[in-house]
Amino acid sequence: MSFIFEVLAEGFRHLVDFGPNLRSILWLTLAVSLSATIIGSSIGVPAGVWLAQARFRGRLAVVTFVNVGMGLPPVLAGLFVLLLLWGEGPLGGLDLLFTPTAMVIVQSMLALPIALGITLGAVSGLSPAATEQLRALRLPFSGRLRILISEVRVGVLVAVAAAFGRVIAEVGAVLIVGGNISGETRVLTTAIVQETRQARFGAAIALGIVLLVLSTIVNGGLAWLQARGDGDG
Amino acid sequence: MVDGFEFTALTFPRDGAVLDALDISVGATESVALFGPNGGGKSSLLRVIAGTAPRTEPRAEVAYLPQIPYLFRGAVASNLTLGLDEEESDQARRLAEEFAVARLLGKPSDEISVGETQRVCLARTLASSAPLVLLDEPLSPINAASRMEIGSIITRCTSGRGLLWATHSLREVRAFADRLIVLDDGVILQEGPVEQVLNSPVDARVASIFGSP
Repeated sequence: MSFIFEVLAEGFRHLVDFGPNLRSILWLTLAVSLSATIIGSSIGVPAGVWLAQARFRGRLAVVTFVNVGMGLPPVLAGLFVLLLLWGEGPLGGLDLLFTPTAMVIVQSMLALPIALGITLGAVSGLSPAATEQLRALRLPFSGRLRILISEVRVGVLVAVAAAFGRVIAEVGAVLIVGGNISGETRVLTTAIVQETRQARFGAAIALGIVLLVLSTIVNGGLAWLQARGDGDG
Repeated sequence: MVDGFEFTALTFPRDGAVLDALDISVGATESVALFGPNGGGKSSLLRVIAGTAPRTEPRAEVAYLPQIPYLFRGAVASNLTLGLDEEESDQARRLAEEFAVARLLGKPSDEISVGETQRVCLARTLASSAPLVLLDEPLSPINAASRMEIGSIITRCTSGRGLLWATHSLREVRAFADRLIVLDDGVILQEGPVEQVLNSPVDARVASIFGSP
């Protein structure tokens, strides 16, 4: 047990010595994760609302595809984006591989099905009376979208929080397309892997604590929004 | 002015109430009541015409109020004018006065009673300029003392338009309908002018429905 305590103590010492390197890792983590959450949710939430209401041949296949996407292994997503952005790949000319942009692309791919699937479930769970009244009003999609997001606001916030949780904790995909380049594409999770591989457990623990705190702050903000939404009627 | 509304081969193969390829018509300025036991197909018929049933499209330009009134999150005022243009919204606010719910407009929608919710929904539905109005048991959630008064406002607001509505009350049928359709098990058992149908049921089944709807 003493080994564990020694590592933890070293981790907290690292936290006190919060250097510029850790600061840049922290900001990049926040920028990439929030960007991917915003992009994935901006597409996934409206798509989830639409899919919950749409009736078309092949809908079940689309829902199944979304469910598979919710559990998509990040390394597979990373490999797919790597092939797209590789020099000889279809988007190789954009020269995005091993950049934060590539990391945002792959994490958006991971966030999207989470936001979509949870929103789909929330809208599908609306009361029949609400659904019938909404259909009766014959509103355009933008009007229905606004009402439905408001009706299932808690579900939408859960969707956004889950999407954020998925991307901020993710390591495989960003490692593949970002390359974990110090000062350029290193984020908290890849930095933890790096420190662990080199047996610098104290530093890894410190990074893990920062990751937890960051996640808690963002999710706390979403919970506050949720409580505020519940309170205003 | 439209000539009237003809709906043919109405089917709804779900929810237990199967409409048996019904044909019905509503005159351009006629009030037609749908009467029959629970599960007989009244709501299904309205939903199919309104296009809210699964895999259906509206059969005409309609204003439709479902059986269970529902207001979305937000102020009552924003629900009152939902889906209405400016002119219709003004009319909805006037109707809210008549329905005695104008004082509630600033309240959150989840803080008013079911009866008040129905009055708000009625004001919105009747304010629509659609030539055909569909109301599913519009007076059921209203307190008994006010039903005839609200029914009179509905009649006035739909004069010059078609009205197709479901009810369980023969008193309401007598007061507000021009024509009556008796529906059970998705089949029209009898239809015609109200007094004619009520005074001369075609068979014992219709008579028993009038006896205990």
